[in-house]
Amino acid sequence: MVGSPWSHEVLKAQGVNVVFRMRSSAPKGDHLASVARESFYVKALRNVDFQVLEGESVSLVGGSGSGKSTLAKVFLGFLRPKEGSVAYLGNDIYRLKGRRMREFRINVQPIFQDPYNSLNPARKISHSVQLGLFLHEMSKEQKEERVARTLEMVGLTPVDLFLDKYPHQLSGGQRQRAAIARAFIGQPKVIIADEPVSMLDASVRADILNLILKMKQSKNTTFLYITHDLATARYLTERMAVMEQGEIVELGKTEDIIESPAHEYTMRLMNAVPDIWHHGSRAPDRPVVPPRFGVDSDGEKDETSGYVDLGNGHYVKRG
Amino acid sequence: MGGTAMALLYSFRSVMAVFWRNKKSLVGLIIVITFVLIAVLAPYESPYNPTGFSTGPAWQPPSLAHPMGTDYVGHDLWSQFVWGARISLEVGFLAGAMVQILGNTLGILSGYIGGKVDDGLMRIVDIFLTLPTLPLIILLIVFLPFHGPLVVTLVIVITSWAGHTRNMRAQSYSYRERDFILAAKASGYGSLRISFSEIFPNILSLAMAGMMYSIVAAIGAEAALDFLGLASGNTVSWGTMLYWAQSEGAIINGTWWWIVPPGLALALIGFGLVMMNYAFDELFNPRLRVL
Amino acid sequence: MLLTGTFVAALLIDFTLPRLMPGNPVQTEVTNLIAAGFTLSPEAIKGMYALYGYNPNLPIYVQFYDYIVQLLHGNLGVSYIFFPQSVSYLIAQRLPWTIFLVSIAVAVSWIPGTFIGMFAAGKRNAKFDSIFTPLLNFISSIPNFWLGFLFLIFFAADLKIFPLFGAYSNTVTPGANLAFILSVLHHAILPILSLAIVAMGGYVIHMRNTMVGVMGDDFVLVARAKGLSNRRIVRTYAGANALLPNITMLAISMGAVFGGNILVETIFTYPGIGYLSAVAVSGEDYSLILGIFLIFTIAILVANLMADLLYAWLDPRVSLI
Ligand SMILES: Nc1ncnc2c1ncn2[C@@H]1O[C@H](COP(=O)(O)OP(=O)(O)OP(=O)(O)O)[C@@H](O)[C@H]1O
Ligand SMILES: [Mg+2]
Repeated sequence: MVGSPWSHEVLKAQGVNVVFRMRSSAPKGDHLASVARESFYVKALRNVDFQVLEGESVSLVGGSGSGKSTLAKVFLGFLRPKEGSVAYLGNDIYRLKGRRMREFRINVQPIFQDPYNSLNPARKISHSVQLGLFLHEMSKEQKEERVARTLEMVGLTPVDLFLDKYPHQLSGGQRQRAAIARAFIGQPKVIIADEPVSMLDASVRADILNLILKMKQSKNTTFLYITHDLATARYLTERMAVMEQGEIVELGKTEDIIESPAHEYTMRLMNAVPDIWHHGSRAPDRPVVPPRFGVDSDGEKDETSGYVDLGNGHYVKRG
Repeated sequence: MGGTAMALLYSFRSVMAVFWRNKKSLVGLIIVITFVLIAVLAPYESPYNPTGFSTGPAWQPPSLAHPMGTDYVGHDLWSQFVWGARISLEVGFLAGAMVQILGNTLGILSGYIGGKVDDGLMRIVDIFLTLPTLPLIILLIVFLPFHGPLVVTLVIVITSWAGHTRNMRAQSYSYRERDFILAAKASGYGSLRISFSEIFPNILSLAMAGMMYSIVAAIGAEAALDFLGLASGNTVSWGTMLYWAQSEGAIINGTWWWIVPPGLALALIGFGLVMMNYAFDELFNPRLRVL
Repeated sequence: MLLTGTFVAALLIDFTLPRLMPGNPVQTEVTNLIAAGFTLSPEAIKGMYALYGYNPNLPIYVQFYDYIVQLLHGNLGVSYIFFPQSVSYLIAQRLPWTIFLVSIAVAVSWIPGTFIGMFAAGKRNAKFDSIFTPLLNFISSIPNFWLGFLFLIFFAADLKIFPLFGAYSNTVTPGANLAFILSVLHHAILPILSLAIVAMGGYVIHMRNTMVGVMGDDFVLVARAKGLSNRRIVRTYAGANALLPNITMLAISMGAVFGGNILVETIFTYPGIGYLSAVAVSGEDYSLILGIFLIFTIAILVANLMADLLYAWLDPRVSLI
């Protein structure tokens, strides 16, 4: 194991709880003054501890509604959790100011799921891609230069053809390439990709995943990959967290979890797609961080965390 | 330079092409342009002083000398009509533009920022929307210690900003969680930039439609005030024409030529502005964009 | 909440505006009245100040308190042009006429307007649309008081089949007799038509647009996939769903209807509060103008409340507190 893992923690969530208030069927005519609306609460994240380490690729898997996107939003600084702390390089994301904030915005970039939604329909591709350089101190020419180079890297060539296009003039795959260009153009430290291929046609999924792989490898970008799909998680990441109903139920090396899932929910997830598990490349070994900071790792049950340590950084939520 | 001129010419042509394709909006455009020309060229079109000493025999039906006839003391009604177009359009366009600026700014920002600011602003908006508009305008005009067309314009803006603000806010609110907005935020865009550089271009056609309706409402309100005798200064307008027609017995005398033109003009200009909307979707919707 | 807020806003506006005027409006009125030959005892003058809650020598919150106390007693001040009648008396006398006019105008425009809009949405071929839409837009652009003007000049002055002014002819005695009722209807038809025709244009457009939106909703598509006829869909599924937003529209439009009513009553010299406010404006009767604004606001709040009730009755998801 690497000496002190949290010195490499890029993103770190501790005891994070997120609760959404849902309003039940608000009537359409919302001018009505005296209409009672019942509301109920959804616990989207329950006491989540999770770290992303410098340089690693880690996946967050789980069924629909398990809270994956919510955690991504928390890490991106879009959703202040009700309880708990979220830090970027040791600083609370929701208290960042000035230079630190700028650094965070430059270095943590999202890629979203829906290619029809992740580019502004009213702005040209050149604008949407150059957005990623907004906080960079560069001349206009330098920025344009960089946009051209990045578009080339993501395969939107000839570049001149795509610069002045609007999103609706592009295919889903091309849009996602533009979104990837926007995310990577500023050379961020961390990319958070929330199901970047799940809405794409099967024929282009592999291309897009390989593109992301290529882009992140060229700069050794830290990568948080959110997906339903254990096969691509295995292909892209060396570490994995499994979420169920807002909780992380299993955490460990991707290979270990897939070879010997310990949580009943993980097994169910895998049974949904039984066939693909025994081929594919092994991800390189990487240090694994226990779910709660400072737990013992000697194979005993840890009374404070609620997790069982299965060794080799493999943890499972106690059933 | 030449390039810019060419580009301008090109976009002018494509705009005209859109109007040409949308016959409804073409009709609207022609009507509006006609009235704008009438208003702009007023000094050259009106051979007589609209309100000065009488310029001919009273109660004359339309004739060559007086294309719209004359009123009860012999004023030339055509001259009143063209000067009236000025007041209507000035107040209408100015108020429309101001409502547009106010509504876009407040509405888009409020919808995007959300939270308490939004709640508070929307509460105020709802109150303004519920208060009876024309009675409130009348009240303000009567009590405010200032007068003239500009005051009328401002009062109309104060009483009618809320509707457009609410619409823009609803639009903006629906965009705030969209992925491309989040992407802009992740790139370091602040609320102002997101509102105007990212959200606004998407709702431009609705904003323009809103402007048309604000202009129509403002023209109507101005005419109503003048018709009630709260004339904006010593001017003639379509509203004052109707006021004098009413008070000097145009009905009993059956002088339809005094009554028909100003009201028909109000109906037509409102109709024209609303019909122009049919081109806006195509002009400003990025999917169909020609600009 | 909204209704209370609006009412408070109206009160504040009414309280503030006279105090923004240069000079002392009550003193001006008193002076004018005396000049007009009225004899005002010092008590009467004091009473007028009290009614306005207007007293520049008192702190503003005391003035406001006085003003609210007066309102709670139903005192809206004394009219200047109809001196010495009280504003509340004048309003109470004329309000029924306005309610009569407006409620019938709204009923005869909203109900048919909604149905026409509903069925127009089912008929969506280009040819129909290219005539129907512009026509409706034109109708809703007509200033309603001008329509009244045309009606008067044509049907009243020229053809003489309708009266020129008033709410009933002076040959009938007000009361529950047929002659009176017929006379009232006879006098109301043109004003109601002026209000209703223009308003109906707006209701049709709104209902049609909402319907077109609803017809694209998933559940309508499902119904269509199930093979339900277009007519059936329009009538049952989509119609019911588009109706609710149209009720909201109805509540919102009340402001415009009341506003338009001021002008229409003025054209027809109809003895409601719309005409009363035109009279008050031309006579610079400040207390009357203020009182009428308050009444208009209350009328709109009541209309909103009724629309809410209608909405709740039609929409099972909504319960009223
Ligand atoms: N803005 C919101 N308002 C209310 N509830 C929300 C909101 N966003 C998410 N939720 C709820 O929180 C829970 C977690 O949602 P989240 O989007 O994080 O799930 P997910 O794991 O990303 O699912 P999917 O795989 O379908 O994308 C769900 O129950 C969802 O309904
Ligand atoms: Mg998700």
